[in-house]
Amino acid sequence: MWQTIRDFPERLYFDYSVYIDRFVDWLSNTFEWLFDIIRDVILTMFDGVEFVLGVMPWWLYIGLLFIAGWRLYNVKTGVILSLLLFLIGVSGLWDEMIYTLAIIFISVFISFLIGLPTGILMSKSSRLESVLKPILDGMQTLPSFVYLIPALMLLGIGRVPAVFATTIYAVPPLIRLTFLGIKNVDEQVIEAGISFGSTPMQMLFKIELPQALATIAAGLNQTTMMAVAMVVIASMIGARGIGQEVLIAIRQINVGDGFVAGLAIVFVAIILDRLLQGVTARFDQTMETE
Amino acid sequence: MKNFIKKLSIVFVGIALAFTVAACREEEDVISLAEGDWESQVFHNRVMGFIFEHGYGAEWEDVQADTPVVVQSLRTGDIDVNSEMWSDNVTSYQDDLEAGYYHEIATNFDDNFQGLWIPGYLQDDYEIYTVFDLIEHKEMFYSTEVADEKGIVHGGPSGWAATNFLQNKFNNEEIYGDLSDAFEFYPLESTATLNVTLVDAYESEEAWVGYHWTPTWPHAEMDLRLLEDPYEYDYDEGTGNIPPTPVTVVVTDGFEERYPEIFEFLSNYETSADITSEALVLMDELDDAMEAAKEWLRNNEDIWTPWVPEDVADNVRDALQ
Repeated sequence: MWQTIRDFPERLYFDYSVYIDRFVDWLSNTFEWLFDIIRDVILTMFDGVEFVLGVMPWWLYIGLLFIAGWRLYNVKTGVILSLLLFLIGVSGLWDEMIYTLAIIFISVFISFLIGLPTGILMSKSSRLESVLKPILDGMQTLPSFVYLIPALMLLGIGRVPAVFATTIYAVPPLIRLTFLGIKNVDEQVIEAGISFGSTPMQMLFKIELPQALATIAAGLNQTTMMAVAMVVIASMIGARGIGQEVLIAIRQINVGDGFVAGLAIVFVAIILDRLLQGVTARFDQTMETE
Repeated sequence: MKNFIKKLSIVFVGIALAFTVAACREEEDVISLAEGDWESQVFHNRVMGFIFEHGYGAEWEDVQADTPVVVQSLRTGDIDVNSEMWSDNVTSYQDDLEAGYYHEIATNFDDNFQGLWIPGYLQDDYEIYTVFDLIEHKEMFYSTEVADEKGIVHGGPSGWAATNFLQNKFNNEEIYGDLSDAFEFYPLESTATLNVTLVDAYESEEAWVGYHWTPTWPHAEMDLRLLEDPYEYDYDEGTGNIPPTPVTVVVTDGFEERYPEIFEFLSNYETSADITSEALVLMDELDDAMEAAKEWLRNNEDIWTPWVPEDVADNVRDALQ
């Protein structure tokens, strides 16, 4: 008796998966040309970025990183950061790192192109805000394999769906923090702008965006960290890089190799995080002295 | 204050007791079956589970896990039974058996095929029968993910014995130099990804060549043909065709003492790749693994009744009514 009340009634079952299947079919048939263009664009970008990153000799990287750490923080930070990079090289993961960095940079770049305007629009329209907020939550919590399979069908295997998946996962913090940064600009500053008769465009580019810059930079930093976190998942859909080394190691229950590759990802994250934060802090300083 | 501490400790002891009881119960009563991400194991687990439950009155559960996790859990005893251990694909298998972490008690089937497959339409249209026939048609297999002017051969996950073997093939300059000049071997780290590339190509009748194995649902649903290799099999040289892998039934150490009768039944468990393939078609038709297992048990008494004593078989038959 209790069971009939407790259990979800079977006659209310409704299988809406077929509609999703149909939608994906329709998408791939109708927009094949568009996906081909996206493919070509991302592949061209990837080749370019990988070429630029790969043409530099390893010691130049380490030297430049030391200088950057030293100028942005102090000598100690410079030494630590370049040592971490050196360790990645020692682990035999240099080429993998270049590949992984290329995916991260392109994803962050695309995230920036999408995220900044979206965040601005969101801060201007409360209706868009109420629509986008749950979508952003969904993008970050939907298990990635769910959209990876359709992405594979639409974009093929390898670098392109990897960039696609990474972007989906990484773009929300940038949108959110751009929105937040602009929303939190001081009322009085805005009023001053209005009283001086600035147009909405002037308002945005001369007042709101500069004021929100620190928050947007924090968003960019978070986006980059999210992108780093996706490299292992990206390797499940045919991308190479450090993520693949992690997968190979854990598949063979190679705890040591797994940690070596995993730590390399951590080092990449630390280096990128420090650099971005340092640049942001430097930016704030110059803003304040102005 | 003292009173409060007293209350608190009683609560703690109560919680600890509850957990202990819960933990004991699980360990003693439930047989854990490993479930990998391929469908044939889902089917075998349902057949075993149904017989455990209705034949022997034992409780069972399936634990979804990747192969390395399954191997590790078999060692620790967190998983009791693996109905499909692809013995050649687990690098530590022989060592683990010798160390006595788990025991091989039956061979589920060993007439499976692994290797490079192409869709049937490709073979019919272009007369590709051996791996060497691929070379002159390499343009069809071009991909942006491999070097220019090269076709892509989709591989399985790195670290699988079959993947290593195929990698050896493409590294063998002497015999397969022309093949590796025309094609690049590209391991994919997830079988789901591998299947998507195959299904996607098959549906639009495009060119595809890659690693696959029977018994799996793509072979039940699609016309796929295994490419021949005229050379003698040698793992390190990568020559020849992959011999069938023994797919074994293993149980964790100590299982025999805990479930002597079920141990007996599992030692008799034996099917074949064909039997499994048919079951997979059934599973696809009925869209429910448990229903497919029941249907299979109803129709194949000659196969499963010899595995169990007469009274157990009667119990199972009753439950199938």
